[in-house]
Amino acid sequence: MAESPYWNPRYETLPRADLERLQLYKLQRMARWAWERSPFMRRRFEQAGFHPDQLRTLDDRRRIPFLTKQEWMDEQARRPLFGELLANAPEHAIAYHTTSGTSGRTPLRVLDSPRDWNWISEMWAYGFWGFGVRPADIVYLAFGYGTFIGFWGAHYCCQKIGALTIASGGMTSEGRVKQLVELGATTVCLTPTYALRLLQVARELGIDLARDSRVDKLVLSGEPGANIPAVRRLIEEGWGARCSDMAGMTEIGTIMIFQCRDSADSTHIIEDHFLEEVINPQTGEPVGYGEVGERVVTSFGRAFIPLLRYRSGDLVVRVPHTDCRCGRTFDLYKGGIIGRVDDMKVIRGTNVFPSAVEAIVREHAEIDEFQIVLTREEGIRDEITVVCELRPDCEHLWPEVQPRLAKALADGHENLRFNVERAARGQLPRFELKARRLVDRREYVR
Amino acid sequence: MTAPNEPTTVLGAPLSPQEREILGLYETTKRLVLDPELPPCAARNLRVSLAALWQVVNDLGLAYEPLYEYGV
Repeated sequence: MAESPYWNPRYETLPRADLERLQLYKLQRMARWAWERSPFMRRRFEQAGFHPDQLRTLDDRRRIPFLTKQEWMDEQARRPLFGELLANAPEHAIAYHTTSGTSGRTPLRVLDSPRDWNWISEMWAYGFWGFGVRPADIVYLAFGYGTFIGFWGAHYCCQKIGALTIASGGMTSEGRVKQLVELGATTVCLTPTYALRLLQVARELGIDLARDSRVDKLVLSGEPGANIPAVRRLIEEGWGARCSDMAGMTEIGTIMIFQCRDSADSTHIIEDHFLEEVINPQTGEPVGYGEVGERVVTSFGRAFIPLLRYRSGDLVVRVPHTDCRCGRTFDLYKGGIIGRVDDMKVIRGTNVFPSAVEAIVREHAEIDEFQIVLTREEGIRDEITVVCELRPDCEHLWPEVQPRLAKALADGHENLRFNVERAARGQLPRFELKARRLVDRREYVR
Repeated sequence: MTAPNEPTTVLGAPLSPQEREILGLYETTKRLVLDPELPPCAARNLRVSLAALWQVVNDLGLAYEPLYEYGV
């Protein structure tokens, strides 16, 4: 029998009508589970006048109230450690994880049972297999482990697939570059920012990763960069490898979308395990194919903390499965996660997304690292400054790079004036996990 | 058509012989993990197996249930 390009051929190619029947079947059971076992969920359902018996069609999902991160955090703060979200006894958990705490707030805490833990790696397996990772691969995880869930699920996914799995744990970047070359890694898992960082470190060590390593696949997660064309091009050229964007969230413990081998810029939704909706973040009303909206996720997997209609804060554009030629019937997000609802900044009336700024900055190969700084001048005028660190061999090009970048940024933002300044070598922070390149120094702005 | 008491997938399709066998393994493992006489080496490893089998029956649409009452 020929090897399947799909991890789960039955469901990855299921006709849409059957897929929706499956989603309804799982939704009914998950909602009932949450109602019966999670006091927090039951309280919310009752307040919204929702009962699981009302779920007769998939459209009835709209009776389920949205859940926000803030509600979750408030509940956790009210009744530490986990609030009344848990639908299972804590003594049945085998894994404890937290969110990365990007926003600087107290991280969310989650527990997983053996069954949940297996499911978490299973979701990664849909993505890894779909991207072409096979038992013969040697997978290198450039990740610090710890309580942040990050690539934990990817680690166990690779072992499940049968690939040799290398956990680089607390190693330095230099150590990782040398080790992944020495061990002949074929696949590397890391954030887009860290993929760029390792390229820089390799250059400093005199190593050309495209030439000197066996890496031909990069699994990128944790940030939107993998589907920003300029970032992707830099990474793919530097590593001599193909990238796959796989996005997830700690709240569900795993990935829910992945880029298959055939897709240039879109990610399939794992629709037999998730019910995904896209809504207008202001009104909460659904938006159609091709429109930007906020992703709302319902997970059919981890039930230790049931997650139904969770407002992810991720901005996406959903397109039909036919946009990809791979044969999967799972719909896609064009460009993956394209931004965050709360990432958008308004500068002198113009919307600015950090990911859009990054896309423009990365078109300038002379720039090694950058930071976006927002300030308020004279108590009224907002200013946006992009501070750039140049590659060592490009420092003399600053007089030419500076105006070119300023013009490109203005052109991409309705002629909004950007200040472009230079940072000294090594002045800007480097990141292994989620990059924090936006610094908002305006008063009264959180 | 499926006979009235014949097991089906969660979408109502009849099971193949291979699927019956998988579902049988799952049900057998569920029963075994509840046996209080099992030594730790068997009890804990069977729970690991049950977590994996749960994934198989879930992925193939043979069953979908929380399973937590089995300590998994």
